[in-house]
Amino acid sequence: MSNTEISQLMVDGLARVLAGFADAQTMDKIEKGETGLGHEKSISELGFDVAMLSEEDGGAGIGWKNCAKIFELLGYYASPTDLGEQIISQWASSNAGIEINGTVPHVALGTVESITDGLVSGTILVPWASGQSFVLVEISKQDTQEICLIDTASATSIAPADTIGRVPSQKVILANCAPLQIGTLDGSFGLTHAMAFLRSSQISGAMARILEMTIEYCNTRTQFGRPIGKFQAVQQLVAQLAGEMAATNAAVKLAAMGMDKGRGPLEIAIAKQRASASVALVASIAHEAHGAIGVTEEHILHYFTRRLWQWREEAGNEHFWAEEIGRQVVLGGGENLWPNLIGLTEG
Amino acid sequence: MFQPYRFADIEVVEDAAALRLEVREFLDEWKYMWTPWERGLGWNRHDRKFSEALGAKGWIGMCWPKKYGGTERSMLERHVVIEELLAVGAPVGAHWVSDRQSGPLILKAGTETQRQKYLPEIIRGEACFCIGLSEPDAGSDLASVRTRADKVDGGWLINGRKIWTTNAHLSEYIIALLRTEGTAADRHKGLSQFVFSMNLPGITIRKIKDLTGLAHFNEVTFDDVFIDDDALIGTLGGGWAQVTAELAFERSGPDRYMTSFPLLEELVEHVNKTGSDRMIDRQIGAEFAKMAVLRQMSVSIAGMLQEGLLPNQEAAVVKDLGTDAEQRLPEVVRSILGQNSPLDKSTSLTEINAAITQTAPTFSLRGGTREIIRGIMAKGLGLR
Ligand SMILES: Cc1cc2nc3c(=O)[nH]c(=O)nc-3n(C[C@H](O)[C@H](O)[C@H](O)COP(=O)(O)OP(=O)(O)OC[C@H]3O[C@@H](n4cnc5c(N)ncnc54)[C@H](O)[C@@H]3O)c2cc1C
Repeated sequence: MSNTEISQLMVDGLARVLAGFADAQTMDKIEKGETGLGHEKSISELGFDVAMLSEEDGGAGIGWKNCAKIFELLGYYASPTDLGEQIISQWASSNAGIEINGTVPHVALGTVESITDGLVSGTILVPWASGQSFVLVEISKQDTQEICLIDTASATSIAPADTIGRVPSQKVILANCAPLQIGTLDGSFGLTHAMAFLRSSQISGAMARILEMTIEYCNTRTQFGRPIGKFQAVQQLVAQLAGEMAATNAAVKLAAMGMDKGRGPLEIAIAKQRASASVALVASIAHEAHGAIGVTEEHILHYFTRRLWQWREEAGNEHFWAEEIGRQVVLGGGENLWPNLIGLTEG
Repeated sequence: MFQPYRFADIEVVEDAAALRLEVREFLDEWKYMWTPWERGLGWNRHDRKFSEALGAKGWIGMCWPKKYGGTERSMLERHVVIEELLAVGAPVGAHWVSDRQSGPLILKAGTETQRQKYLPEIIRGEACFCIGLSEPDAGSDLASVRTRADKVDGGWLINGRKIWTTNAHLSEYIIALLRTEGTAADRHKGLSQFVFSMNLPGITIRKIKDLTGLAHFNEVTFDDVFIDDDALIGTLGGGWAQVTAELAFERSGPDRYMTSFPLLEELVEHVNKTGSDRMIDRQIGAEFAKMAVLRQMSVSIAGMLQEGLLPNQEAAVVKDLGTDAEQRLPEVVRSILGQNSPLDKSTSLTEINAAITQTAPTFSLRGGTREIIRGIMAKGLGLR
């Protein structure tokens, strides 16, 4: 079986499980951190957290392009667990030679500094964490992609963090904390980039869901004696939403194909920039088309739009990445602009 | 997962790099001759010598069968060539329409005689075609075409008027959508396409200056113009379906997002020389990201065409997003430059910006307006 076939089977299997936890009531409970809903167990039983490990290491070795389909699907179902983060965590640990004993570590958003040798300091956001846990964190350094494993028991403070996305999260402050292990990621990009890729893919998947929902609503909600989707003003809005979704999809593909070829940082920056930049329009159009019902707690739309607003900020928002991209592009000057653009697919 | 678009994953063609290099070497011998203003005017600019030189390289009609002079290269290889041309703002107007849509239409719907007659000439860069669709009363509502072709002995007699016909005054041929039956009220029924010479008696071409002061498009009047029976292209009464397919060729290329590319290049060069800051980096980075993603989609469309698919919806997406990006670029330049004279030819950046500022409104008109494109997208999404 090819990687694509394997990943298709994985996507189908995951979709069946996720569909069982996709109603607003269940999503509300998940956001409130309720356990015992069975979603964590059903998803972890699939064993997909090792998707990006090589076959020798007991993984599926499906590559980033195929992995993006899993990430997108998670976005499409508003990610009821941290499967995406777990896949990144397994990949990063294995890649950097960090040993995992027992539970798969969480992945932190944000980086830590290592000023005193061997000790790290900084403030990180850890999605899906509660209580004491193990966390992978990127150490901010020039020219090397270091990560470390932290036991949050040694943190200066741990507090539940309120986020727009509302999934259980923690704000963790580390001050001269001794990591359990330190490793270096081998390859062209680090942990923040990997998380940016995950978030871009989730945004892409969530946008597909939002578009689907919006079309369905426009074809059923009737005003002035006809479905609102018949009104040109509404049609023009939905077309714009679809365009932004399509661009986000394409951006994720651009990054994934580059990553599979050993490139990465610039492609990922573009993906996250474009995905995050699309969020404002997509969310506003979806809500505009849904009218008042769409902003109610009861309606399912906000589980997706709130995720978009959260995810666009995480692992670098559109402004952060635009700056990063722009700096490189400007440095290259006019004559390198076109070769740089071509290099994204033909480098 | 819901996915209304099929943008295929395209792996790069094997010898893309070699072909790209060859095109760049060729362009090196030409591009120093073009002023920034000219490069800003984009792909309408007509230069017969340039087109002939390109034809001699085998880069016009390059996907067409060898028996007509083509080189049977793939749509992806063609994409390499045309994006290289657009990137430098080359004057491709003398063959652009022929290569993009007239030739493919003739290949698809034309008779063997028509193919033999027109395709080799196009391939050599000697045949400029114009598009005879729009009329004074038929713009977005193309089905209300009135210009008639009435059956007479041995041929047809044309009467009426086409308008906005780009490069009609420089064209050897036209492919026109004409009413062969009924009246404008019959809409899509009774429309047929004809291909014929622009030098026939009874054709009057009046140049129309646009707001830049230049005349690219024209009004073309037909006064008892006689054309032979073999001018009919495709099926009698089948014009509407053919035009729909032709418009897919017209809308699916990188020319729908790259018109302003030379401006971005000038901007990056300017900032590289004069110094950047975080806010400038952000603006340039965002435009670069937009362009990278549009290119990803454009390459994918070329791949789909190669596989024989009809990426009409995907092309509409790229046209909508692409023309928007092209149009916004002059505004980005203004924001970065701050105070400057709007028609300042003292630097290549401001000169090219002046050209693009003034032509930008047309980007979302030609080839179907933004609103029409979004209507097509909405319909494709199942809103009705
Ligand atoms: C630079 C340039 C080159 C061109 N070259 C050619 C050429 O070579 N050959 C050729 O045949 N044509 C050519 N055209 C014509 C072009 O195809 C038309 O301009 C275009 O189809 C719009 O038609 P119109 O200008 O009559 O505008 P109209 O159709 O009158 O539209 C005016 C406005 O009304 C809106 N509108 C119209 N109908 C609807 C609707 N149903 N729903 C919502 N909004 C609507 C439009 O979106 C637009 O905003 C060219 C145009 C330009 C600007």
